[in-house]
Amino acid sequence: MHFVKKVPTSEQEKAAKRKEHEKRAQQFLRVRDRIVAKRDKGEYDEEILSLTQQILEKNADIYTFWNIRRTAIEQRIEANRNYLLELDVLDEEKAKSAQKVENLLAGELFLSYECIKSNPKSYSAWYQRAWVLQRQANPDYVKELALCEKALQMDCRNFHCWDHRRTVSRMAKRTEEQELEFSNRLIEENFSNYSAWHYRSIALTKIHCDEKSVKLDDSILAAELQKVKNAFYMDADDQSAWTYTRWLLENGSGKEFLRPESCTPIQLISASFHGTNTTLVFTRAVTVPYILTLVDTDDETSWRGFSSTSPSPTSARVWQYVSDTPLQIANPLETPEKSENFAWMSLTDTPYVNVAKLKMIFDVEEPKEPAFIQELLEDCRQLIELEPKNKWPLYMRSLVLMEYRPIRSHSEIVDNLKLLAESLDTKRVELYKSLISRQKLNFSIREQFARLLSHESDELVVRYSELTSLEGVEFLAGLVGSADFSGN
Amino acid sequence: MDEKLPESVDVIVLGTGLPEAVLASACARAGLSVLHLDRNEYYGGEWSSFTMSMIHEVNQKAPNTLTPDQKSQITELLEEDEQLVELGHQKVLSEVEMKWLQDDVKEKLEKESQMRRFSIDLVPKVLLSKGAMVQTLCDSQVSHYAEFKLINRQLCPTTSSSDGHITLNSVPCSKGEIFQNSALSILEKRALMKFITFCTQWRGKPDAERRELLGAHADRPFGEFLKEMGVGETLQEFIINTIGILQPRPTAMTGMLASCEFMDSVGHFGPSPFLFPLYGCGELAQCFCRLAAVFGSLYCLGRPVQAMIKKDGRVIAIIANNERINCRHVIMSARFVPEDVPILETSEIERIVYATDKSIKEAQKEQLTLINLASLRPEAAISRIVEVGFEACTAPKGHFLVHATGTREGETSIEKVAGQILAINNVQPYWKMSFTGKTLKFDTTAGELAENVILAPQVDASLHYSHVVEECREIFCKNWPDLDFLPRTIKNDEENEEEVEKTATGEENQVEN
Amino acid sequence: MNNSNRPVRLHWMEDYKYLFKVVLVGNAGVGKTCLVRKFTQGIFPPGQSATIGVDFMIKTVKVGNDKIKLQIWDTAGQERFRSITQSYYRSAHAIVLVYDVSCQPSFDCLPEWLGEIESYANRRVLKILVGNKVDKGDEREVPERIGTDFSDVNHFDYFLETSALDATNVDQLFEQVATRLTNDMKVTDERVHQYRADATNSSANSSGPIKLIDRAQTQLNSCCSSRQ
Repeated sequence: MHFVKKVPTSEQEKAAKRKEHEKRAQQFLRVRDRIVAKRDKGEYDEEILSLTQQILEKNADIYTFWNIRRTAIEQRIEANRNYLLELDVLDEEKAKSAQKVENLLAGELFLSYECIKSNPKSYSAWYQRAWVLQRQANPDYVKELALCEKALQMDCRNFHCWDHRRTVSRMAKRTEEQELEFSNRLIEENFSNYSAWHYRSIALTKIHCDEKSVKLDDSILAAELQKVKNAFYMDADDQSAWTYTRWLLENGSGKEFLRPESCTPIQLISASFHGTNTTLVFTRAVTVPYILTLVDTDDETSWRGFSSTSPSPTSARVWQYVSDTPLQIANPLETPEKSENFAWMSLTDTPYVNVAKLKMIFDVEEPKEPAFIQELLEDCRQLIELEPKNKWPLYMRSLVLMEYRPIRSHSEIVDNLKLLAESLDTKRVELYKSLISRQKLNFSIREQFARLLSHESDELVVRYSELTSLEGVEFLAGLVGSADFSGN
Repeated sequence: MDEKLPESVDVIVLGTGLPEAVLASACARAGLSVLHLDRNEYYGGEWSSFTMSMIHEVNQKAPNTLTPDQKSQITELLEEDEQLVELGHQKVLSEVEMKWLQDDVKEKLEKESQMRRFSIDLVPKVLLSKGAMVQTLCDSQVSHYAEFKLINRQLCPTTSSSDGHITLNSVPCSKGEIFQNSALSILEKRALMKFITFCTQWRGKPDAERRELLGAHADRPFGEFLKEMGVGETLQEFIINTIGILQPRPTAMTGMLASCEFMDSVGHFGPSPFLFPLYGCGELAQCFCRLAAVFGSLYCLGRPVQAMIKKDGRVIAIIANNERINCRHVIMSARFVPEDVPILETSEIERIVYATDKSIKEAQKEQLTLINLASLRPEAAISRIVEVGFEACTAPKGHFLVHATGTREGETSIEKVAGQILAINNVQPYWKMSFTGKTLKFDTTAGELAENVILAPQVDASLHYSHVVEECREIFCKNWPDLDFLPRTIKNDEENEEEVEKTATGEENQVEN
Repeated sequence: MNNSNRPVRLHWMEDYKYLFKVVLVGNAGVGKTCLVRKFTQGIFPPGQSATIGVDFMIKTVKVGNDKIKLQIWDTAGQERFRSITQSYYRSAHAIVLVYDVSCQPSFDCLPEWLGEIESYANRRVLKILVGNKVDKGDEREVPERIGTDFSDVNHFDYFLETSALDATNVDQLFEQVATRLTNDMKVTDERVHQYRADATNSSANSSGPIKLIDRAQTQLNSCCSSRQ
């Protein structure tokens, strides 16, 4: 052995490698057997730690061996705990013993680090770290977070690492603002980082939303759009940027369809008496027990629910209470509670109709358009011009138009969606068709809205409109008695 | 207590400039016996770096012409049929001037003993992250001897057409930097990304196709091709300035190649393609010398060589300190080429160095900066500024060295342009040095230069070290075709450490209970 | 394989806490290389061949509960003609200046070495004076007292006499170096830029110096290709 720098020959290298490989395979089996034997005998000693370490360094995913190590370490932690309680031991000795435990735990972190270096997606190695951090006297969260950041730099979608990071953040009691800054850092380095944008959306929600406000306010949306704009301009095919933009819009949207149903708060749309039944229509599917909190009856049996998915649903948007007497409902403006001080509304003469809500559902009026939406529409238009074959900007523009300019831009919306369905994104032709359908349905309903509201007639006519579904029509259940959907 | 120099070696190297050092280390590594001499008491020759207290050494280069007495003494060492060849004193460095512009600063620096914190490079270049120098450093493991910093800021000068006012804008080099940049518009960022994508695809194609893709523009100015690609004028200038630092006056072909080279190196060590050695470029020569020493080369500073001995058209020995040392080859810096070898061409490099206490462009954290000034001095092929300071360990905290380099061509001097740049942020230098570097093209066919005297590559104005390394490699392979030029080494110290660790661990850590 | 015969390789403590660069200087022939070899390998190389092929050696020692890595550099023979490079002294944490107690001239040259150290080394470098070859009892030319005095007058941090041949004080020398450096470091609590565990860089874009070997091994995978 000399310190003269030598140059390897390929023959030597190959032969050495082969020998090494065989040697290692044999060794592995012997060591493994020894470990198992010791474990069965309950010998969680230094040797088993040393042997498991040897193997885990090369094969990080052997969960059992990590388990053995945890047991061994737990034993020592327990022993130390008892030792510390003993009365006739010097403080010095106690400190030494505690230090030994800390060393043990630190060593575990080092071992897992070595494993992660060669196998960054080893669940067991990451898990061990969290396990250790929970037991250390002074866990170094800063270092741990730095390790996560580095691992994410190498592979931004390593979900083991993301999970671990979330765990450590909690332990370290990091603020959401700090996590937001972290997501910012990752995004600035590489905006094609889907997971970073996603993490950002979670952080933003935690910071700005609570029970009172489930929406992000306009200034935040504007700022975020400014940021994500860079991304979809620099790479208009980048899914993460568009997905994030969509999430922003959903968050700022009041409209039901852009937001997944679970976000929509439950509201009563209409309540009307039709001689043999009282019909109740809600914004979201509800159950009978819920309804009973709103009405002046306790009868659970005479209810009929209407749903497109099943003939006798337990949860539906439209319910009918079969009775010759009209129900009385709680005044929807107050919190539904059955108490004496509480006002009932009678439906005998006039039905209750939440006109504002209906208008919103069918786009009868266009909502106010903030400046950043205008900008977004313009950006999309520009991108469409630059990249006419790219589905993303076209789809985004269409979504935004549907949200904010459904009346003015009705024809553009339909044309765009058709283009998407027929050539730019044929894989999702069904989606686009249903959007077209909805758009056209709304268009048609708008024309008849005033008539239906004023009870001039209760017939809904939507013909030859390429409808693919009647989703949405049920909101009119209280107003519509008959419908004509021919030609669809 | 000086030892005796050997009587004969395979290779004698005269001068410890970077190219000589690289060649010496290649020879030593390949197993040749090497004696490496420098007449100065320091390493690096005209590639060296100096502290503020030592910078005057650049000036004091007394040429060692032989007195008649000395000559006769030496002639005694000659044998039959041998001729004495005196070494030349080529002026590769001239018109050296330096002065303090603010004495109070000088006093303060002296009082605080900060003079030695400066590392003033005569030849400040950068390393391309994926270039030949980095590769060679890693292969030979000379990389252990040095550390580097990223040139983390590249600035582009834009002259306003209305009032001639110059502004310096940051050049974003990576995807992340483009994303964060606030000066570029959304559309410009997009165009830049498209260009980058195009380059990546272009690079992967075979040579013939590459040329084809450029169409008629291949050998025409790069700007025309960019325009054709739909890149707006501002962005055109921007790209040409950025790439131009690697490839002056690019055509579409050379511009695209430089763009690919640039992008290839971005991200390798960080968001910029360029590295700068910690403590300055003078370190590199020392590092290669150390490698040579590790492999047995002998080092002797402060040892001027008096003459060479020639026989049958070859140099067979040199004389230093009245002693004769035989050799088979001589490698020398151009400085020593004998006077009778004709010079075909001379090209000049204009150099200015300023010491300042304020950066050319303020930033939150101190930056290492590179600026391509070609647009301000279009008649010259090369004009640039490198600004380094405390972060690169080349100046005391809060101080900077501004290095301007330019090929001497056209009416506008590099000094004028450098002055314009300093004026932007009203930087007042307190010290200034200027000199001219000369690159000499010799006529080696005339036979005046012995066939086994190898000329080391000379200082040139190129930005990075790839040319120097490649030239050294060529020279080495031409003269020693059977030997490898600084081949890759396997890691030896880590191996040894592990073995050492095993025994150590065994002794130290007996089974604890 | 029966593990009970070999020293059991225990669970490792945390990766080394600090890495220190230690350089040795002094005249040719005073025994610098032998000292290092004795310490790192436990052997005393026979023969008086000049140092060829020796670059630096690494050895890990324990200071208290910490693992300390010492990166010990050799001059590569460049001291023979007073031609050690400046960069040799760069970033050195400790300089060990060695003379031969049986060779007066090697002691007389010490002021020159001090001059070099003054010029090129970090101001706060740890300076250790070593008188080597104490095994040569009768041939001794420099009394211990002289060495001690020189050390005091010139503000060395530590002085001791050693023998690479019979191992006198060799381990103590380097342990002293390691201990003093560690304690100094802990006081300033400054993490040395050569700290290998990159995970400690708290900011992703560390502005520390780049060591080419480490980075060359780190592949920054381009992740999340924009195409899904």
